[in-house]
Amino acid sequence: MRGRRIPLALLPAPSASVMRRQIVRVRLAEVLVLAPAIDSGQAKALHDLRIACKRLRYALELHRGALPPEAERAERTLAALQDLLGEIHDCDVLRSISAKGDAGGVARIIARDRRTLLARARRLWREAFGDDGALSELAPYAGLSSPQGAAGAAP
Amino acid sequence: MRLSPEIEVDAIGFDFDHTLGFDQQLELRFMLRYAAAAARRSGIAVDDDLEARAQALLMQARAGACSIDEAVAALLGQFISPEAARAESRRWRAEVVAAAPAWVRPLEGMRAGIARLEARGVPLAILTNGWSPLQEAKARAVGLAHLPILVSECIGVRKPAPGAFAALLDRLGTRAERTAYVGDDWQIDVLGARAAALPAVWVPEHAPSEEERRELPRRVLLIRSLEELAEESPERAPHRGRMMGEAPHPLAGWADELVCQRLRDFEERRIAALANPDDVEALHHVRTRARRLRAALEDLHEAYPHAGPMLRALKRLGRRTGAARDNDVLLERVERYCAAARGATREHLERMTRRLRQRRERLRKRALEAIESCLLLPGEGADT
Repeated sequence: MRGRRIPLALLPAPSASVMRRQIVRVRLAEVLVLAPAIDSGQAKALHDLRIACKRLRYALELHRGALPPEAERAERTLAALQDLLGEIHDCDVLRSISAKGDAGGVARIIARDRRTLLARARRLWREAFGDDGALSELAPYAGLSSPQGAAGAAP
Repeated sequence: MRLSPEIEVDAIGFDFDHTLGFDQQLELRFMLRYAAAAARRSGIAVDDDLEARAQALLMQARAGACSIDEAVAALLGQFISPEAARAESRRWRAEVVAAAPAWVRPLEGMRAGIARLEARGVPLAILTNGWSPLQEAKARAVGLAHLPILVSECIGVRKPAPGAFAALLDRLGTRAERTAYVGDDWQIDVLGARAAALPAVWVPEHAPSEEERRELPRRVLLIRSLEELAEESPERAPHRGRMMGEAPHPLAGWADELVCQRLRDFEERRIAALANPDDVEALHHVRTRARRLRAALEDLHEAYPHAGPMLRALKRLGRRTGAARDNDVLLERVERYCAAARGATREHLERMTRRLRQRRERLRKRALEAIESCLLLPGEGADT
């Protein structure tokens, strides 16, 4: 999934702080748009969500120190989420390469692992977008209204 | 001091050999002289390959693969005992340093250029790969004893590693983007300086082609002699990607600083991975730093519009290193599953383990090749 370009031309007065906020806004919006993946559990959608989480995390990391304190908590949550989504992706890749010659035993192990990982990712996601969740707290800085109303598994 | 429309600096660092002075192959000539004497004493005939072997050993020493003493001792060791070779190499060292004043010559225009820069109050320093006290003796030989000199053997890091340029900045007390580095070697001096975020001035030994001139990356200035450097001429070498007179983006400096920060981080990891090719984690670090750099370039695209070649190079690198990393991660998972499985499932997992292990070396080799060739320049000119 390609990340969106950050449009600067539309900004009233380009400054580093305006640009920084715009980057976080666009990258957080990308995560929210892909929220339905958490509910669907579909491989490609989860992979795209992982990439979007990674982009947001890297942006927060790059501007660390110039962002409000809640950004650091968001960074940690995104790293944990990204790890879980990464492991789910590994399961999906493994399932595809192990299919040939497998009587079903390997597929069952992978499926069990994947279910556990997905349940943990869903729990983390709910916490992140809960009342005082790390990503909920980041939303006002990015100029987004509460992401809790976003589509998908955001509670 | 303004060197070009896009390069304004507070201080300048210089490479020594072939930038400020040349030593007429002083080390090589003395190595051959010592080897011939050792061969004579031992009654061994010198073959035609001696010079090529000496050159190869010198190159190894210059690349940091061994010390200069080890290189000299290795050459002499063909004719005399290892102990005698080591003793001779110490004598060789002292004699080469003593001979420097007679052998080292200044580059044309060097003295006038340096004098003019000093007259303008620009702080200058020398950062050179080599051993001490030879490099200091060479600087003295061309009348530059008064300049601060950082020799790789003393600072413990060689160009093009960013740490070498960081030592120069420490010595000068200036910021990377406000300190130019002048050198003749494209890879070591120009790309090294740019990777460490210093504007670079290239004084090539041989005139570059028309194409090379046209393709000059951002914040790299091409000059023919150091005299030119001291002449303030804002018309010189405009940024290829920007038309003369066109104002840079108001956030270009800010974006440049952020990208350079990521680039330095990437470059440090890249060098560490190449120094430790068997370290799987080092390879992983290059991959994650490349992804961070790529994300920064994408985020800052409008304020940093010349990222295209760098992004393409990073994408290629990502494919190669990603394949190696994915294989390692999958192997680890399959081995874990395998330990707990039984019967046909276990047999299937063991087959998968073997396949993944077979692929591992090949993928790692390809990843290392990609890492080695991924030389990036801030702004443009990713050269892979």
